Amino acid sequence: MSEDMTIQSVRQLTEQLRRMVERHFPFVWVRGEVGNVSRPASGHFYFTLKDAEAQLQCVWFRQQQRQRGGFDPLTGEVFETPPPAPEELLRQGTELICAGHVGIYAPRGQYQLVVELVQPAGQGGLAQAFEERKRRLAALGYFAQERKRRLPWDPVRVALITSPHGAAIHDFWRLAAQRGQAAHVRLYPVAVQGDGAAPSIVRALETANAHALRPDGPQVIVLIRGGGSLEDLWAFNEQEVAEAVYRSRLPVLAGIGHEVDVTLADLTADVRAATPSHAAQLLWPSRQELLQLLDDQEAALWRGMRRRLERQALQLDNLTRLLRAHAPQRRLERLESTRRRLALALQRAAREMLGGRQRQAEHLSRMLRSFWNPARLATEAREAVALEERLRAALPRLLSRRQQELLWWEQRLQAAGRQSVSRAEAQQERLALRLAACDPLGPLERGYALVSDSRGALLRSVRQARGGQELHIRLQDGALGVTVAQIRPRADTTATAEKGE
Amino acid sequence: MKNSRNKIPADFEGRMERLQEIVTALEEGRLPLEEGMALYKEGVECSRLCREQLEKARHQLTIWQNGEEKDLTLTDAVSGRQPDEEEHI
Repeated sequence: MSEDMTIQSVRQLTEQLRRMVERHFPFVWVRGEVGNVSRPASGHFYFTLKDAEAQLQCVWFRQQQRQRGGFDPLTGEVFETPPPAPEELLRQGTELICAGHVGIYAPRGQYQLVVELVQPAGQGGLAQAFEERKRRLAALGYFAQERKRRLPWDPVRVALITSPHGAAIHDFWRLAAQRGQAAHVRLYPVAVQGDGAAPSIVRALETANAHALRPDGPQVIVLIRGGGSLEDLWAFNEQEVAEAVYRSRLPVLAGIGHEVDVTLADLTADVRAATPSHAAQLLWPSRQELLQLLDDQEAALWRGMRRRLERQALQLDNLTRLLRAHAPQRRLERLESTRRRLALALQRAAREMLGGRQRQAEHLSRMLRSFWNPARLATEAREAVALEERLRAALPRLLSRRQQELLWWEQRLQAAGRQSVSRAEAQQERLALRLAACDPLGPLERGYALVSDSRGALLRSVRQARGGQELHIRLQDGALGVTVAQIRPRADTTATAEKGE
Repeated sequence: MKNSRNKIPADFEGRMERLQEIVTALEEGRLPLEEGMALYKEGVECSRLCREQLEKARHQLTIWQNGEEKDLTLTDAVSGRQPDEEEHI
């Protein structure tokens, strides 16, 4: 390498080391005891992690100290309680697990861990084991919602698995006393803490399930324990316990620890109660509720009955009325009233019919009188005589007037005939004159001549003639046969040919 | 539904169910009157018995130990105060 030959500055060497270290340790987990904690005004933490043989400088920058809210940045697990504050974590002498990358701080020439995550190492063991098991069991479907069974309603045979001593059974029993119908609760005593706890719980679960096959066997298993630390509750996180709950043929109701405590047995159970008391509440309805339910049912019973009685009473009333309506006495009365009504109607109809006939007769006689009246006939006869006389007087007058008219028309006809003859004669004369004026031979009398060729066609132009041609000239009183000696057209070309005119 | 006064179930749950049945049948109102009356009486009886049962209800507590069942009474004296209770809360 060429760098072997060159002399480097401290900065150059440190820079190379820094790059190398950062490449090799981008993210590491380190476990150790905290020492030499200092926190200057910048808010960054400086401390050492050490064990018996070595120590490591650490820096935890302020920006990294937020611990990213209420969930584990590595597993995604949501914390039920917020993570502890940084100052609580970094107590002198506590064991921590820190994660981050290894870097080199050039100004001091020292390597250090740049911390990103801090976890207490003490609890870490159990908590990690819990999380690991939880993930494994979840993958096996232990917590699947669809395999959760419902608890029997108001059960009368209950298997209780817990310690016969301690607060849990008392809390449970106190609540139970006010709830449900009389039930038989059989306690399967177990140790709930310590080495033998898990196997004894598993045995009790198996025994209760075996008893379920008997006629007086339990309908449901209740698994409870009072609150405690994670270590105290550990038996309920053992895999064998979770497995026994998972395998149980009877539905399991678990109420372990306080509300914040969650164990694997809780998660596997069909129903999870927050506490032992809560388990009793979930298991049985309160007697008050049951009594209320009874009250409701009784009220419904009474309502149903009353409604039905009322309906039938109404029906009975209706039938009674109908029956009365059809009694023989009522029937007679009804017939009599019908008869009376009809009789009245008949009378009225007869009256109306008679009155109508009378009115009609009067009307007809009035009409007859108006046609057949002697006074009127006499008047009409007189009128007829007068008309006849007028007719007789009118005829001669009419005849003489017609004769006069005839005469007058005769005279007019004669005058018109005469007039029309003289008018026709005058017109004939006019026409004869006009006719004479139109005679083509008339101009010959004034000295004009007609020239025609041998075939009789008239010549109008000198161009129609040829030299030596024989032509025919007609005058007023005869004709001449001539021969064309010379043709002299007029200078302006439109002249007629010269014919010896 | 038959008129079965003599067959009122012995258990609370059965009686509650029977009561519910009777209420439904009466609400539908299709029964002959006498049958309805009989049902009504049976319903009242069911309800009375249930009520009595609830008022007298006491849970029975037994303990299963060494393959046999024994009665168990919880007293305040056993509520975790005994010296041999180091393992229970």
